[in-house]
Amino acid sequence: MSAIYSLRQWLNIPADNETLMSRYADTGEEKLLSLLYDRCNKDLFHFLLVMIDEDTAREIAQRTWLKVIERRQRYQPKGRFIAWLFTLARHTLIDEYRKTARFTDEMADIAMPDKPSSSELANALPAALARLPFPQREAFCLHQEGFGVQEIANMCGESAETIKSRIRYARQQLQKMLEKYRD
Amino acid sequence: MTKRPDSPEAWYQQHKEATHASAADKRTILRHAGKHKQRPALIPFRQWAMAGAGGLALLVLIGTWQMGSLTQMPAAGSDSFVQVELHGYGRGEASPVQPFAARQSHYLEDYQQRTLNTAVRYQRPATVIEAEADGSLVLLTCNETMMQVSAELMRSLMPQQSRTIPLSRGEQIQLDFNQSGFILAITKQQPGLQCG
Repeated sequence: MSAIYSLRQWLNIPADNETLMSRYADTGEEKLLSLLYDRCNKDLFHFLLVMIDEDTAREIAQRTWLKVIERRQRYQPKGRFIAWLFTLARHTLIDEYRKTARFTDEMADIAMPDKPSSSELANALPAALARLPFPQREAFCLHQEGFGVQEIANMCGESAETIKSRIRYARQQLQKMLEKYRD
Repeated sequence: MTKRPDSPEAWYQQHKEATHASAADKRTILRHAGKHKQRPALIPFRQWAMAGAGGLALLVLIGTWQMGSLTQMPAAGSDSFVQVELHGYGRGEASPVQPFAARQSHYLEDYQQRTLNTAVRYQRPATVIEAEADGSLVLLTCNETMMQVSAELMRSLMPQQSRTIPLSRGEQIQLDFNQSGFILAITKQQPGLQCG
Protein backbone atom coordinates (compact mmCIF):
# COMPACT_ATOMS: atom_id res chain seq x y z
CA MET A 1 0.00 0.00 0.00
CA SER A 2 2.92 2.31 0.80
CA ALA A 3 4.49 1.60 -2.59
CA ILE A 4 1.21 2.43 -4.36
CA TYR A 5 0.95 5.64 -2.38
CA SER A 6 4.53 6.62 -3.26
CA LEU A 7 3.98 5.81 -6.95
CA ARG A 8 0.78 7.86 -7.02
CA GLN A 9 2.59 10.75 -5.33
CA TRP A 10 5.42 10.53 -7.85
CA LEU A 11 2.96 10.48 -10.76
CA ASN A 12 0.99 13.28 -9.10
CA ILE A 13 -2.17 11.16 -9.01
CA PRO A 14 -4.34 11.89 -5.97
CA ALA A 15 -4.51 8.83 -3.74
CA ASP A 16 -7.93 7.42 -2.85
CA ASN A 17 -9.23 7.58 0.70
CA GLU A 18 -8.44 3.95 1.39
CA THR A 19 -4.78 4.40 0.39
CA LEU A 20 -4.53 7.56 2.46
CA MET A 21 -6.03 5.86 5.50
CA SER A 22 -3.76 2.81 5.15
CA ARG A 23 -0.78 5.11 4.89
CA TYR A 24 -1.99 7.12 7.87
CA ALA A 25 -2.49 3.89 9.85
CA ASP A 26 1.16 3.00 9.20
CA THR A 27 2.79 6.39 9.68
CA GLY A 28 0.44 8.60 11.69
CA GLU A 29 1.31 11.53 9.39
CA GLU A 30 -0.98 14.47 10.16
CA LYS A 31 -1.12 15.72 6.59
CA LEU A 32 -2.76 12.44 5.55
CA LEU A 33 -5.39 12.82 8.23
CA SER A 34 -5.87 16.43 7.18
CA LEU A 35 -6.54 15.31 3.60
CA LEU A 36 -9.03 12.69 4.74
CA TYR A 37 -10.75 15.26 6.95
CA ASP A 38 -11.07 17.71 4.07
CA ARG A 39 -12.54 15.06 1.81
CA CYS A 40 -14.95 13.41 4.21
CA ASN A 41 -15.88 15.72 7.05
CA LYS A 42 -18.52 17.71 5.19
CA ASP A 43 -20.48 14.54 4.38
CA LEU A 44 -20.05 13.27 7.91
CA PHE A 45 -21.03 16.49 9.60
CA HIS A 46 -24.04 16.99 7.35
CA PHE A 47 -25.28 13.47 8.00
CA LEU A 48 -25.02 14.07 11.73
CA LEU A 49 -26.62 17.49 11.43
CA VAL A 50 -29.77 16.05 9.86
CA MET A 51 -29.87 13.32 12.48
CA ILE A 52 -29.39 15.37 15.63
CA ASP A 53 -29.05 18.97 16.85
CA GLU A 54 -26.11 21.06 15.67
CA ASP A 55 -24.05 21.09 18.89
CA THR A 56 -24.32 17.34 19.35
CA ALA A 57 -23.61 16.77 15.64
CA ARG A 58 -20.37 18.78 15.97
CA GLU A 59 -19.39 16.88 19.11
CA ILE A 60 -20.11 13.48 17.54
CA ALA A 61 -18.17 14.41 14.40
CA GLN A 62 -15.18 15.28 16.59
CA ARG A 63 -15.49 12.11 18.60
CA THR A 64 -15.66 10.10 15.38
CA TRP A 65 -12.43 11.60 14.08
CA LEU A 66 -10.78 10.97 17.44
CA LYS A 67 -11.78 7.32 17.05
CA VAL A 68 -10.17 7.30 13.60
CA ILE A 69 -6.96 8.56 15.20
CA GLU A 70 -7.06 6.19 18.13
CA ARG A 71 -8.10 3.12 16.13
CA ARG A 72 -6.06 3.79 13.04
CA GLN A 73 -4.02 0.62 13.46
CA ARG A 74 -7.18 -1.46 13.45
CA TYR A 75 -8.25 -0.11 10.07
CA GLN A 76 -8.77 -2.86 7.49
CA PRO A 77 -8.87 -1.58 3.89
CA LYS A 78 -11.61 -4.03 2.93
CA GLY A 79 -14.36 -1.59 2.01
CA ARG A 80 -14.58 2.16 1.47
CA PHE A 81 -12.96 4.33 4.11
CA ILE A 82 -16.03 6.56 4.24
CA ALA A 83 -18.20 3.55 5.12
CA TRP A 84 -15.89 2.79 8.07
CA LEU A 85 -15.98 6.45 9.10
CA PHE A 86 -19.79 6.58 8.98
CA THR A 87 -20.04 3.29 10.85
CA LEU A 88 -17.93 4.78 13.66
CA ALA A 89 -20.12 7.89 13.60
CA ARG A 90 -23.32 5.87 13.58
CA HIS A 91 -22.25 3.88 16.65
CA THR A 92 -21.38 7.11 18.47
CA LEU A 93 -24.69 8.62 17.41
CA ILE A 94 -26.69 5.63 18.64
CA ASP A 95 -24.80 5.71 21.95
CA GLU A 96 -25.72 9.37 22.26
CA TYR A 97 -29.36 8.65 21.46
CA ARG A 98 -29.45 5.91 24.08
CA LYS A 99 -27.79 8.11 26.68
CA THR A 100 -30.25 10.92 26.19
CA ALA A 101 -33.27 8.75 25.28
CA ARG A 102 -33.75 10.65 22.04
CA PHE A 103 -35.36 7.64 20.38
CA THR A 104 -38.64 9.10 21.62
CA ASP A 105 -38.47 11.40 18.62
CA GLU A 106 -38.40 14.59 20.62
CA MET A 107 -37.18 16.36 17.49
CA ALA A 108 -40.54 15.64 15.88
CA ASP A 109 -41.91 18.40 18.05
CA ILE A 110 -39.82 20.98 16.21
CA ALA A 111 -42.25 23.20 14.40
CA MET A 112 -41.94 23.81 10.69
CA PRO A 113 -42.80 27.25 9.31
CA ASP A 114 -46.29 27.54 7.80
CA LYS A 115 -45.28 29.24 4.59
CA PRO A 116 -41.50 29.01 4.41
CA SER A 117 -39.43 30.90 1.86
CA SER A 118 -37.07 28.88 -0.35
CA SER A 119 -34.13 29.39 1.99
CA GLU A 120 -36.27 28.67 5.06
CA LEU A 121 -37.47 25.49 3.41
CA ALA A 122 -33.90 24.28 2.90
CA ASN A 123 -33.20 24.94 6.57
CA ALA A 124 -36.39 23.16 7.58
CA LEU A 125 -35.12 19.80 6.34
CA PRO A 126 -33.86 18.59 9.77
CA ALA A 127 -37.30 19.30 11.23
CA ALA A 128 -38.99 17.41 8.38
CA LEU A 129 -36.62 14.48 8.82
CA ALA A 130 -37.20 14.52 12.57
CA ARG A 131 -40.83 13.58 11.87
CA LEU A 132 -39.65 10.30 10.41
CA PRO A 133 -38.85 7.25 12.54
CA PHE A 134 -35.11 6.98 13.23
CA PRO A 135 -34.47 3.91 11.01
CA GLN A 136 -36.18 5.56 8.00
CA ARG A 137 -34.41 8.84 8.56
CA GLU A 138 -31.07 7.10 8.89
CA ALA A 139 -31.53 4.98 5.75
CA PHE A 140 -32.68 7.94 3.66
CA CYS A 141 -29.82 10.19 4.80
CA LEU A 142 -27.14 7.56 4.29
CA HIS A 143 -28.54 6.94 0.81
CA GLN A 144 -28.34 10.65 0.09
CA GLU A 145 -24.74 10.70 1.30
CA GLY A 146 -23.88 8.32 -1.50
CA PHE A 147 -24.04 4.91 0.14
CA GLY A 148 -25.52 2.00 -1.78
CA VAL A 149 -28.39 -0.04 -0.37
CA GLN A 150 -26.10 -2.97 0.41
CA GLU A 151 -23.55 -0.71 2.11
CA ILE A 152 -26.29 0.76 4.31
CA ALA A 153 -27.56 -2.75 5.05
CA ASN A 154 -24.07 -3.74 6.18
CA MET A 155 -23.71 -0.64 8.32
CA CYS A 156 -27.10 -1.08 9.98
CA GLY A 157 -27.03 -4.86 10.21
CA GLU A 158 -30.27 -5.18 8.23
CA SER A 159 -31.23 -6.82 4.96
CA ALA A 160 -31.04 -4.88 1.71
CA GLU A 161 -34.82 -5.28 1.27
CA THR A 162 -35.49 -3.69 4.66
CA ILE A 163 -33.25 -0.76 3.78
CA LYS A 164 -34.97 -0.31 0.42
CA SER A 165 -38.38 -0.18 2.16
CA ARG A 166 -37.13 2.34 4.71
CA ILE A 167 -35.74 4.60 2.00
CA ARG A 168 -39.00 4.35 0.01
CA TYR A 169 -41.21 5.22 3.02
CA ALA A 170 -38.92 8.06 4.06
CA ARG A 171 -38.97 9.47 0.54
CA GLN A 172 -42.77 9.27 0.35
CA GLN A 173 -43.17 11.10 3.65
CA LEU A 174 -40.69 13.81 2.72
CA GLN A 175 -42.34 14.24 -0.67
CA LYS A 176 -45.70 14.84 1.07
CA MET A 177 -44.15 17.42 3.38
CA LEU A 178 -42.42 19.12 0.51
CA GLU A 179 -45.63 19.34 -1.57
CA LYS A 180 -47.40 20.91 1.37
CA TYR A 181 -45.01 23.87 1.14
CA ARG A 182 -45.09 24.27 -2.62
CA ASP A 183 -46.60 27.34 -4.10
CA MET B 1 -32.21 33.34 -4.81
CA THR B 2 -32.42 29.72 -3.74
CA LYS B 3 -34.42 27.50 -6.04
CA ARG B 4 -37.32 25.69 -4.43
CA PRO B 5 -36.51 21.94 -4.27
CA ASP B 6 -38.83 19.70 -6.25
CA SER B 7 -37.81 16.38 -4.67
CA PRO B 8 -36.65 15.14 -1.27
CA GLU B 9 -33.23 14.42 -2.82
CA ALA B 10 -32.90 18.00 -4.08
CA TRP B 11 -34.12 19.25 -0.71
CA TYR B 12 -31.43 17.24 1.03
CA GLN B 13 -28.65 18.42 -1.32
CA GLN B 14 -29.75 22.04 -1.00
CA HIS B 15 -29.50 21.77 2.76
CA LYS B 16 -26.07 20.17 2.46
CA GLU B 17 -24.75 22.95 0.24
CA ALA B 18 -25.74 25.48 2.88
CA THR B 19 -23.88 23.57 5.61
CA HIS B 20 -20.35 24.51 6.62
CA ALA B 21 -18.24 22.71 9.16
CA SER B 22 -16.14 24.74 11.55
CA ALA B 23 -12.44 25.12 10.74
CA ALA B 24 -11.72 25.19 14.48
CA ASP B 25 -12.96 21.59 14.71
CA LYS B 26 -10.31 20.50 12.24
CA ARG B 27 -7.57 22.22 14.20
CA THR B 28 -8.70 20.44 17.37
CA ILE B 29 -8.62 17.08 15.60
CA LEU B 30 -5.17 17.66 14.12
CA ARG B 31 -3.80 18.80 17.48
CA HIS B 32 -5.02 15.56 18.97
CA ALA B 33 -3.50 13.59 16.08
CA GLY B 34 -0.17 15.32 16.73
CA LYS B 35 -0.21 14.14 20.35
CA HIS B 36 -0.98 10.61 19.21
CA LYS B 37 1.87 10.61 16.74
CA GLN B 38 4.34 11.19 19.57
CA ARG B 39 3.78 7.67 20.80
CA PRO B 40 3.49 5.52 17.71
CA ALA B 41 3.45 1.77 17.91
CA LEU B 42 6.88 0.28 17.24
CA ILE B 43 5.34 -2.18 14.86
CA PRO B 44 1.98 -1.33 13.25
CA PHE B 45 -1.05 -3.34 14.32
CA ARG B 46 -1.29 -5.17 10.99
CA GLN B 47 2.29 -6.35 11.24
CA TRP B 48 1.58 -7.55 14.80
CA ALA B 49 -1.47 -9.39 13.55
CA MET B 50 0.50 -11.01 10.73
CA ALA B 51 3.33 -11.99 13.07
CA GLY B 52 0.80 -13.43 15.51
CA ALA B 53 -0.91 -15.43 12.77
CA GLY B 54 2.47 -16.73 11.59
CA GLY B 55 3.44 -17.74 15.11
CA LEU B 56 0.11 -19.48 15.62
CA ALA B 57 0.49 -21.36 12.33
CA LEU B 58 3.96 -22.48 13.41
CA LEU B 59 2.63 -23.67 16.77
CA VAL B 60 -0.16 -25.61 15.04
CA LEU B 61 2.39 -27.14 12.66
CA ILE B 62 4.66 -28.19 15.54
CA GLY B 63 1.63 -29.44 17.49
CA THR B 64 0.44 -31.51 14.54
CA TRP B 65 3.91 -32.97 14.05
CA GLN B 66 4.17 -33.83 17.75
CA MET B 67 0.71 -35.38 17.73
CA GLY B 68 1.79 -37.49 14.78
CA SER B 69 4.84 -38.69 16.71
CA LEU B 70 2.74 -39.45 19.75
CA THR B 71 0.06 -41.35 17.88
CA GLN B 72 2.72 -43.56 16.28
CA MET B 73 3.94 -44.58 19.74
CA PRO B 74 1.66 -46.95 21.68
CA ALA B 75 0.88 -46.00 25.26
CA ALA B 76 3.29 -47.21 27.92
CA GLY B 77 1.85 -49.88 30.16
CA SER B 78 -0.40 -51.23 27.44
CA ASP B 79 -0.64 -55.04 27.55
CA SER B 80 -0.04 -55.43 23.85
CA PHE B 81 3.08 -53.26 23.87
CA VAL B 82 6.35 -55.09 23.33
CA GLN B 83 9.48 -53.02 22.96
CA VAL B 84 12.22 -54.65 20.95
CA GLU B 85 15.69 -53.17 20.88
CA LEU B 86 18.04 -54.18 18.15
CA HIS B 87 21.72 -54.13 19.01
CA GLY B 88 24.22 -54.72 16.27
CA TYR B 89 26.37 -52.92 13.72
CA GLY B 90 24.96 -50.73 10.95
CA ARG B 91 25.53 -47.76 8.62
CA GLY B 92 23.70 -44.61 9.61
CA GLU B 93 19.93 -44.74 9.88
CA ALA B 94 18.17 -47.94 8.96
CA SER B 95 15.00 -47.59 6.97
CA PRO B 96 11.93 -49.02 8.72
CA VAL B 97 10.80 -50.49 5.41
CA GLN B 98 13.95 -52.58 5.07
CA PRO B 99 13.71 -56.28 5.96
CA PHE B 100 14.69 -57.09 9.51
CA ALA B 101 17.92 -58.86 8.45
CA ALA B 102 18.93 -55.89 6.31
CA ARG B 103 18.38 -53.52 9.20
CA GLN B 104 20.53 -55.70 11.42
CA SER B 105 23.56 -55.37 9.17
CA HIS B 106 22.84 -51.66 8.62
CA TYR B 107 23.88 -50.74 12.12
CA LEU B 108 27.22 -52.56 12.02
CA GLU B 109 29.76 -49.87 11.16
CA ASP B 110 28.00 -47.03 12.93
CA TYR B 111 27.67 -48.96 16.15
CA GLN B 112 31.36 -49.84 16.27
CA GLN B 113 32.37 -46.21 15.74
CA ARG B 114 30.14 -44.94 18.48
CA THR B 115 31.22 -47.47 21.08
CA LEU B 116 34.97 -46.82 20.70
CA ASN B 117 35.40 -43.85 23.02
CA THR B 118 32.55 -44.31 25.42
CA ALA B 119 32.41 -45.27 29.03
CA VAL B 120 29.98 -47.46 30.89
CA ARG B 121 27.18 -45.27 32.24
CA TYR B 122 24.73 -47.84 33.55
CA GLN B 123 24.19 -51.55 33.95
CA ARG B 124 21.10 -53.63 33.51
CA PRO B 125 20.42 -57.32 34.26
CA ALA B 126 18.77 -59.46 31.59
CA THR B 127 17.79 -63.05 30.92
CA VAL B 128 18.82 -64.95 27.81
CA ILE B 129 15.68 -66.22 26.16
CA GLU B 130 17.23 -67.38 22.90
CA ALA B 131 20.87 -68.18 22.12
CA GLU B 132 21.25 -68.81 18.42
CA ALA B 133 23.88 -71.11 16.92
CA ASP B 134 25.56 -68.19 15.14
CA GLY B 135 26.14 -66.48 18.49
CA SER B 136 23.33 -63.91 18.37
CA LEU B 137 21.19 -63.50 21.48
CA VAL B 138 17.65 -62.56 22.34
CA LEU B 139 17.45 -61.04 25.81
CA LEU B 140 14.70 -59.89 28.11
CA THR B 141 15.45 -57.04 30.50
CA CYS B 142 13.75 -56.29 33.81
CA ASN B 143 11.46 -53.73 32.23
CA GLU B 144 10.21 -56.35 29.76
CA THR B 145 12.22 -54.95 26.89
CA MET B 146 13.25 -57.58 24.39
CA MET B 147 16.72 -57.08 22.97
CA GLN B 148 18.27 -58.76 20.00
CA VAL B 149 22.07 -58.71 19.96
CA SER B 150 23.64 -59.58 16.63
CA ALA B 151 26.31 -62.23 16.21
CA GLU B 152 28.77 -59.62 14.92
CA LEU B 153 28.33 -57.52 18.01
CA MET B 154 28.72 -60.55 20.24
CA ARG B 155 31.99 -61.41 18.50
CA SER B 156 33.33 -57.90 18.92
CA LEU B 157 32.37 -57.88 22.60
CA MET B 158 34.13 -61.20 23.26
CA PRO B 159 37.63 -59.84 24.03
CA GLN B 160 36.14 -57.60 26.69
CA GLN B 161 34.39 -60.43 28.45
CA SER B 162 35.63 -62.60 31.23
CA ARG B 163 33.45 -65.53 30.25
CA THR B 164 33.12 -67.85 27.35
CA ILE B 165 30.17 -67.83 25.04
CA PRO B 166 27.82 -69.15 23.80
CA LEU B 167 25.43 -68.39 26.58
CA SER B 168 22.59 -70.74 27.22
CA ARG B 169 18.88 -70.10 27.41
CA GLY B 170 17.64 -68.88 30.81
CA GLU B 171 21.05 -67.61 31.89
CA GLN B 172 21.18 -64.33 33.81
CA ILE B 173 23.58 -61.77 32.44
CA GLN B 174 24.57 -58.18 32.98
CA LEU B 175 24.60 -55.56 30.22
CA ASP B 176 26.87 -52.52 30.36
CA PHE B 177 25.55 -49.54 28.42
CA ASN B 178 27.09 -46.25 27.43
CA GLN B 179 25.24 -42.90 27.64
CA SER B 180 23.64 -43.43 24.24
CA GLY B 181 22.23 -46.82 25.16
CA PHE B 182 24.75 -48.88 23.18
CA ILE B 183 25.95 -52.15 24.71
CA LEU B 184 29.61 -52.00 25.70
CA ALA B 185 29.92 -55.37 27.39
CA ILE B 186 27.96 -58.49 28.29
CA THR B 187 29.07 -60.33 31.42
CA LYS B 188 27.71 -62.86 33.82
CA GLN B 189 25.38 -61.30 36.33
CA GLN B 190 27.08 -59.68 39.32
CA PRO B 191 25.71 -60.42 42.80
CA GLY B 192 23.26 -57.78 43.95
CA LEU B 193 22.14 -56.74 40.49
CA GLN B 194 18.64 -58.19 40.34
CA CYS B 195 15.39 -57.17 38.76
CA GLY B 196 13.46 -54.99 41.20
